[in-house]
Amino acid sequence: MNAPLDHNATVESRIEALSDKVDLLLDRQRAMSELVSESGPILTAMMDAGTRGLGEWEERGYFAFGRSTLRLLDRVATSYSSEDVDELGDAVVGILDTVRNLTQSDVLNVANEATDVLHRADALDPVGVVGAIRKSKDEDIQRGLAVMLEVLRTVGKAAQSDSGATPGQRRLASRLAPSGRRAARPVTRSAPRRRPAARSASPAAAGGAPKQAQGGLARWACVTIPGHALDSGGFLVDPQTWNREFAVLMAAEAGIGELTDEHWQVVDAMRAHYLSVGASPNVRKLANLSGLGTKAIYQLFKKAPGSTAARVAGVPKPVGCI
Amino acid sequence: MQTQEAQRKVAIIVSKGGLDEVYPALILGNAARMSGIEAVLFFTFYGLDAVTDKKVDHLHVNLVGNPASPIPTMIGGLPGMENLAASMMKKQMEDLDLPGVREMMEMLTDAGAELYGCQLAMDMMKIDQKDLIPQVADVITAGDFYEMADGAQIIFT
Repeated sequence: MNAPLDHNATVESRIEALSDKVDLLLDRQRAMSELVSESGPILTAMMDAGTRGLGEWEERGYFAFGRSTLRLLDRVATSYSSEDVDELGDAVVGILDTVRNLTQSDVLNVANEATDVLHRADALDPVGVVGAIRKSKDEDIQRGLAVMLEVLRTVGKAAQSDSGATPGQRRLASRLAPSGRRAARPVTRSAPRRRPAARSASPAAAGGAPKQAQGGLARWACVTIPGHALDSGGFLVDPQTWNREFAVLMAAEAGIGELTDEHWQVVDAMRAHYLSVGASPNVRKLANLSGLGTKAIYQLFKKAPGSTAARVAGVPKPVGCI
Repeated sequence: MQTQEAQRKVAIIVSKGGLDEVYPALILGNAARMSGIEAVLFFTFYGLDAVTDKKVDHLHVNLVGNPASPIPTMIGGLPGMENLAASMMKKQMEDLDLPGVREMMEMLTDAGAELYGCQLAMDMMKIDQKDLIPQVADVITAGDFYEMADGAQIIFT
């Protein structure tokens, strides 16, 4: 008889536990419905206000503005490349700076008074060269001239500095630079519009010093001969460290190939002169000292014989025009 | 040197025959060769004096109409003044171990520079190529010069 009793007790305890949970659920349900009923009017009011607000925006033309802005953006996107926009991004900071400076009240006052003059332009008498000179006695005009000259100077200076930070500044510089400087820049592109890709492809050209000969000289900065320190022009730093092995290696670097007896004759004459006089002989002296003559020197050490022979002989670059 | 570099080239036109006017051209030409740059020298009008056998050793310094001249123009115009100035300048050049004009011409051709005379100017001045120093390779026209100067930087002196 014990078993059914036990069973009843278990069922009862379960029902008790269930009813607790049902109570909890009911509480929550009640809370939810209260929340909905209370928040309903608030939400309705909010929607009302929102719609009214949007209506007002529409009336004020915000959306029309937005729509035309989108159309504008669309046009910008189709007619400009992303590189252009990147470039613009750089410029925006500069534009903001400029606008802030321009809108200082004293600057605006000056601009305002200047426009006043334009309104009264009809009343002014025409002025010739003599009149301009006479008017230049006026202190205000003198001050104005000084300001304008200073502005011109600044513009000129900005246009001249090739080291301008942004590509735009560099481009401006290249366009405004005196024609000689412009001619010195290498004309590598035939395309009328300079694309940013082309600019970044030739950073050396943008950095200035676009010398044609540099390719030949710059090569020497990369040449090394083990155990011997060379300067950027390929000359031995310490002539005392020279030896015949160095001469052979350097001759190979200079494109001479095998050193013949005549080559050694020139190299020895060059070293002897340097060690006794303390200066490298120029080509003319070298031609006489070696007893070979100018023609032979140019044939033995092709292309810049003075420098080439000096590199092989481990002496400094000869100085002088002859 | 194995890398293919653009071969630089200068073409120098020598149109004046004063000692002070010829030297810069010759020095430039020689310096070009020393720097591994090809050089062509074209002698025309009074510049022909520098390559005319009889005149090459007697070039004068231009004193008149030269504001930088150390001698006043009024005195510079007197007879013999140009000779005097030229000999003074030649002495200074010797002190600097600068070769004379004739020797410079030899140096230039030995160094691989090419010298040319101007056909038209020689016809005008009634000079024949046999009157010129042997270093002049040929007598050419202005058009020939431009062909030779193809790709060169042209310097007019």
